[in-house]
Formats: sequence, structure tokens, C-alpha cells
Amino acid sequence: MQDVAHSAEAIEPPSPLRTQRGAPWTHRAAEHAIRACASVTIAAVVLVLAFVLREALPLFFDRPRHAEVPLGSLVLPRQWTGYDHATFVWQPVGGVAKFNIVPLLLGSLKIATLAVLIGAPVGVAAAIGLWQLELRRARRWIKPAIELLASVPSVVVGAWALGTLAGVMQSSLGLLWRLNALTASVALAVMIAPLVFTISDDAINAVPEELTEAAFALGARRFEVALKVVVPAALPGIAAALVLGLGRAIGETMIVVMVSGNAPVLRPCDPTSSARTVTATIATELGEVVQRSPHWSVLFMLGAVLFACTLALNAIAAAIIARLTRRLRGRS
Amino acid sequence: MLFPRRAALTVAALAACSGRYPGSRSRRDGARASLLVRGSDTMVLLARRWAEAFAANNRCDVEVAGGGSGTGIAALLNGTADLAMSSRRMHERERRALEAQGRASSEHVVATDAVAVYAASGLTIAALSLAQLAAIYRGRATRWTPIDGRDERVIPYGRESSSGTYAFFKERVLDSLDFAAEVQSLPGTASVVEAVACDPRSLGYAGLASHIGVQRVPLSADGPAALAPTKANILSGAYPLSRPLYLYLAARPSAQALAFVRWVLTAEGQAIVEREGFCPLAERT
Repeated sequence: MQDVAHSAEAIEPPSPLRTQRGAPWTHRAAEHAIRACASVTIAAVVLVLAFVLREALPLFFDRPRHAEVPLGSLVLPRQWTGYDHATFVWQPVGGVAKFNIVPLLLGSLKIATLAVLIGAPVGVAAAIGLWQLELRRARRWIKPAIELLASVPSVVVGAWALGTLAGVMQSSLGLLWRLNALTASVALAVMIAPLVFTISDDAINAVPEELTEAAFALGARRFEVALKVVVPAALPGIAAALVLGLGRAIGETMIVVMVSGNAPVLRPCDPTSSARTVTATIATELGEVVQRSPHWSVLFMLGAVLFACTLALNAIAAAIIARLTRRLRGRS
Repeated sequence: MLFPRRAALTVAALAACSGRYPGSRSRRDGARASLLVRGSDTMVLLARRWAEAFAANNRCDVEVAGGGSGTGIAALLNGTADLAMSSRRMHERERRALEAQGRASSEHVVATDAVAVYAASGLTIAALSLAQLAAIYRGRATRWTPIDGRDERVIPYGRESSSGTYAFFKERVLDSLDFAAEVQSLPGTASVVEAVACDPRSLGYAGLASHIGVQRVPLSADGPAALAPTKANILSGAYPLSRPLYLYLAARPSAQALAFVRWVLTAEGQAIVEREGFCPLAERT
């Protein structure tokens, strides 16, 4: 038995995941410590999900709860007393609580999409521009400076947007609502652009020099190399940057609470109207709610929806990156 | 180098997540007891002044946290506060939930406040009737034309649904009907006042606050007489949106909690009410 094991070890290279038998005990201890840390992280994710689901599930499986909050009323329009026509209403406090989550989902989608549309091109363009201008020495301080911008607390950005940006945008664009989704998105874009920039920049600088050198050797100009060689090669990284930016935009709370106006209106295509996002709703309402009440369950269900969205986004990002990487390998 | 700091952070984060507020349930460790008061944002500053004065004369620290009246009552329900401050009466549902836990609470009116309607200063607004106000916040009326002749849209601001001011306004002005979806909700009295000051087309309701850059619109209920939220009008009860402010005690309150409420109702406590811009109780009767 031992011989067989020995010869197998001799043929196959030792797995990097496992310390070898003769390794000093410190290595083993370190290995166990790392494994413990990793499992704590994974356990945290699983437990958070379990907790959120435990609080949200009564909404689906508890019969008395069904009478209070019919499942259909969460997503379907309904004509409540006092309304002229059937509509989607989020009004969780009052005589008849109304929990329609459609305005909130549309609000989150509206603000996050706008923020990425505004912020991501700036970030990607900055990363390409930095490569194109060949600012190798300047990059050493430009990059940390921009990363510093990404680490500004969102409350600070929110306060700036509330105090300065909102007024400037209202007067320059002639907006009806001073606090609106567009202003919130611009403030969010300020947070997202540096994130997209720094990831795209890493991806661009990881492009193998053989590729660019070969292109230069064939007589390509720098901007041709940038657009036709560097960007396609860095595309997986840039795609990851975009998805991370979108995730950040969906999850951001403080800026949205301060600047978006928080009105649960149903105008997904009008960026100048207000919007109430899922995160803002959870942040402002969860503290007030009686535990295990219908409102509590609905807020946790919103959390679960948010969780699912992020999970889906990550999966899509992984798929895109895998596909692009494969395509790139096939060509080179 | 990094590790101890990270460990400290983790411990702090875990402590923060453990759900037990350091001051929750009055306790007597060592010499000083402590109380945790949570609830209405309208009452936070007032309660802080109370807490400071009370702590100076008693061997008891009082911690005050805001979040809205609903938050305070929920905290009472969840057992994470000794006292809830609320700018609205406890709902029947909340009362029943408390009783179901065998923790019926006691209610104490501690001051009088009013909800004011704010507009940007510089406008000439003679008065608003409660019916007009309801139409605006229900989304039935959207123009300034009938109010002061300007052909502009009204931008209505309000408070978050966790706020007692929100619940009070909904009940008293909207007759418990829903706010229009367009009504923007802001996280505090000061943010409403500031937002209104920034936009002459806007209208906002909030608790009484310092009013720089804004004016308080006189309101009329049924008759033609429009009253501004002045102290005299609020005290006489003539101002249509005046309201009592409450403190709720958890069942089986600690001696400190009882002492605190009793002290708040003394002349000393009520003097602080007056200094903070609310109306003290004794004068109302």
C-alpha cells in the first residue's frame, strides 16, 4: 500500500492545495487557519442567506400571513379604495398597508442602470486614455489618486450631491424635481467610475506585451493598438468592471436615500423623476418595523430579491468572462 | 501589523451585530444605572436635553436614539429600549402586540408640538385650508395657481413612513387615505426645511423647527380663520395640526425609568420643553 502511494506521489506533482506529509507543523497550522478563515466566510454568506429567507418565507408559506398580504398584491396592480384606477402602490404604513414591490424594483433598476451608463464609460475611457497617452510615470500617482476617490464614504458624496450637485443640475437642466433619479445616478457614477477605472486599468495593463509589441512591429499606431489589440484582450476584465460597477450601484444606499427623493413613482423611463430604491426602502423602514410583522417579512423578501439579483449578476459576469477568455485564447 | 487591527475590527463588527444595545434594559452595574430612550426624531433633541439634566442630578445615564416614533415603539416591543418617545399615539395593533407579550405599557403625554407646513420665504401665501393641503398631498391638486396665482407645479415634500409626523399628517390631513406616489420623503425635519428653502415651488410638512429661508404657512381647518403655528395658537389648540408628544414606558419599568418620566413632568422638565421650542404641558389646560 505504502509503496503504491509513494510511487503515485513520485509521478504526480504534489497538489498545491495540500501540504506534504513531511512539512513542518507550522505549515499545517497555517493551512488549517486558512481553511478555517475560508469556511467562516462561506458560512457567513450561507447564514445570511438562511436568515433572510427564514424571515421572508412566512410570506409564502404561512396561511394567516396570506390573508394579510396576498402574494398577488406584491407584484400585481390593484385598485384600492380611494384610487381612480388599478395601480402599483408602495405605502406600507397606514390603515390598509400596501406592499407592491414593483415601484421599488423599477426604481433600483432605473438608478443603477443610469449610474452605470454615466459612470462606466468615463471609467473605461480613462483607463484606455491612460494607456494611450503612455503616462507610465504619471500612472504611479494618477491611479492611487483615483482609487482614493473610490474610497470616499458615500455619505460625503451624498452630502455634496444634496448641497451642490442637485441645485446645479436643476438650474442648468431646468429640472422640475430638485431631488431626482438622474441627480442620484450622477452622484452614484462618481462612486462607480473610479471602481470601473481601476479594474479596467489592471486588465489593460495585464495584456501581454507580446501582443502589443507585435502590433507595433506591424506598423500599427498607438491608438490602433489600443482599440484593436489592448481593449479586445482586456475585455474580460472590463466586463467584470462593468458588472462590479452595476452591483455597487444596486447596493448603494446612502446617496440614494439623500438625493433621489425616495418617491415610489412608476416612471421607469423618465430619469428626471424621483425614484425609491429597494436598498433605500430597507434602510429607512426596517428600523421602524415590528419584528415578524407582514411589513418585516416583505422587507426581508426585498432583501432576498436583492441577494438573488447580485448572485445572478455575478453568475452572468463569470459566464461572460469565461466566454471572452476562451475566445481570446482561441485566437492568440 | 495588520492582523490585530483586523481582529479588533471583527470583534467590533460582531459586537455591533449582536443585536444587544449596550444600554438596553436598565441595569445597575457598579454605581450608575443607564436608560435607553428611542423613537421620534422630532423629540430627539428635547430628550437629549432632558437626559443631560436628569443625568446631572441622578445616578443614571440616559442614552437617546432617534429613528422615528415607529422605531421607538418597535424597540419597546423588541425589548431593546426602556422608554419609547413617540409623536403619535400607539396604534391598536402595536398595543395588542405588546399585550400579547405580557408587557402592556403605560402612556405619558409629556409636551405639545405642532406639525407646520413650510414654503420658501419670499412667497405671499395667505393661507391653506386642510382640504387644499389634502388635495396636494393626495395628488389631486398639483398647481400653485389656486393658492397664490403662480402657474407652477407644486413639489410636495414629506417625511419617511417611519416618522410619527408622517402618521399624524396622514391621519389628520389625508383622513388616513394614501399619499400620492410623487410625494418625496426625506429623512428628517431639517432635511424637509432645507429642501423647501431650496425650491420656491415646493411645499413641505415637518415638526416645528428653526425656519431660516422658509415660512410657516397659516392653516385653516373649517372656518375662514387661518392660523399660523405660533405658541399661542398651538397652546389654545386652535392651530389645526397641534399634537401631544408621548413617552411610553415598558411594562415593569425600572425605578430609574419611572423617575425619569416623573421628573420630565416637573416644572424643571417642562422648562426644558419650552426652551427647546415646544409647548409645555401645564399651560395647555
